[in-house]
Amino acid sequence: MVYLRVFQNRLVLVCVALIVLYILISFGGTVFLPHHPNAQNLDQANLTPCPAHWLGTDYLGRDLFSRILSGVRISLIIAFFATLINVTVGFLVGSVSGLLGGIVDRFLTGLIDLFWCIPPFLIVVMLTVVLEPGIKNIFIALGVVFWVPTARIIRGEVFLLRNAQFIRIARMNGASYAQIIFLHVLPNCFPVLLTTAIFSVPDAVLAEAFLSIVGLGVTAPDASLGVLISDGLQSFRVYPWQWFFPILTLSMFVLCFNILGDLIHRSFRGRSKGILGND
Amino acid sequence: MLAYVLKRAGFNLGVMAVVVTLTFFLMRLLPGDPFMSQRVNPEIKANLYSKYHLDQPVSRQYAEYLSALSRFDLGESLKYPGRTVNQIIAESFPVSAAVGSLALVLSVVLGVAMGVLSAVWHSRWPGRLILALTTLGLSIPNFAVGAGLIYIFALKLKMFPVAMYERPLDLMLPVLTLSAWPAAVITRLIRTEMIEVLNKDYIIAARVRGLGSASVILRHALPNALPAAIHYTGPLAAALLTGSFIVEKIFALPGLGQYYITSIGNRDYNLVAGITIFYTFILLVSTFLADILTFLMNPQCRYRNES
Repeated sequence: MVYLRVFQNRLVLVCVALIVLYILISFGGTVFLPHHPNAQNLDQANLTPCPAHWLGTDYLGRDLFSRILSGVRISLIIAFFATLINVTVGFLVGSVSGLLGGIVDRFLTGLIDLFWCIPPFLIVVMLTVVLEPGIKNIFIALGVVFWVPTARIIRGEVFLLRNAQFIRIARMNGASYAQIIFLHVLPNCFPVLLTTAIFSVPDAVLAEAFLSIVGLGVTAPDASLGVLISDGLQSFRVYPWQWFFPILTLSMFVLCFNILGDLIHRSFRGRSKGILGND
Repeated sequence: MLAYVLKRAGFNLGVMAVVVTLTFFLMRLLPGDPFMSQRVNPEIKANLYSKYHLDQPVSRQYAEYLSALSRFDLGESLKYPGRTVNQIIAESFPVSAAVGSLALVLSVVLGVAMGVLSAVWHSRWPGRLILALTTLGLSIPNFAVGAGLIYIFALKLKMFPVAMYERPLDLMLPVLTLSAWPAAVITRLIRTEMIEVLNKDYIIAARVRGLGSASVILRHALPNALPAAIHYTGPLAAALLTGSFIVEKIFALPGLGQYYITSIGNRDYNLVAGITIFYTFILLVSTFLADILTFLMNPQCRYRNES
């Protein structure tokens, strides 16, 4: 399995281990949470980190550690589905456009160019306002803008592949476009798609944080990492830890994905050239 | 060249038309209206509606907006009575542009310098250090950098006043915050291209001819490593010049970025549409300039741009 070779790099192992840890802990339900994330206790508001509350409490006396863990879960859900939309739509649009060519290609590339010129955060902000903020609507709004660069990259790859011998032979043997796309194009685009997916996760997490700071985040009492950061930003001059720990969690997560994406991108770069070199 | 410019201008006009239409109708699709927060009674509301022609059919409003737009009149703000959108942009854009242009210069200079250095030393520790720094820079969002800088340099070390801008030096923290991310991106773009270029035959030939390494790197290699970075700088310039909501909020800068988001919440139809049009205009112009620059630097790019 050629993809497993990536794991020979120790840094990749560390990153994957950290990401798995993030996922396990945040989806572990209440097992790992010392307190209920939304339980208020006004007597203990704005506590500094102490043994009872490892990372202190917020302005309503909610345990910050529990809130961060459940916040990671919500951010992860948003990032996962935004990435899923990104990769599916981007791959389908890109491969159909690149493979079919002609008028379909012109129409789809026109669409991509148009989306390219409209400021993405304008679309996201407007869509979240129209659909009303919520987990589902945030990832839908993010998905609507994220697929554009993916589609463009995939179209470029597929456009180079469309005259490759194995595609031509498949077509001569009477394979349908769907068969070619999923059996021949998908495996060849997989490295690119994987890198895009990995880089799209931190993008989604950061975009979600941006939306929360703008005031379009997940609705209370649920809190994503972005909501925690935006709450922390209100009072970071007095209670710096309320701002620091969510940011640290977020940055570490984003860093893991960035390093992972980088290394995977690098290990596949030589390979993707190899395919075309054969033709 | 002329045909290319005209073609691009036509396409850009089309994009502007789509953006205008999209913001115009999307804003009116949003639930709520511009006067909901003021809790006025229905009569006053009706008067306000007729004052701003909001009681007319949407198609009529759209036609009126377009005709005003052709005279470069972006209309009157609905949330700030008596102020036109043109005035608001004229007041706040210079603030954003001042900070943004400094950040642009800083990120380009820093990005190119670090990119070249990390490519030249790419297998030794300074190159790896720069690469690690850029990965870090790409992972720490600007709201973290901004608040962190304020906390350390303004609150703890008291080197800068908090949210007070009297000396030019006071702009340093927001400028640093804005340029951290783009500097990291530019560094990576230059680095990737530069490593590739430095392995080309003509570079080896230049070295063989006995040119100094400074001359080889700066005069022969760098121009060929620049296009990707220039391509990125176009949209970047637009984003930096028109201001970032988060950075302006953290640093309490009275810039354009703030109005953008708050006006969507206020359902200030004219202000949102006006700022969007303004932003899109700057974005298209700067992307266009970046493309022209790439074109001038390398005639081969003509084919890439036209296809």
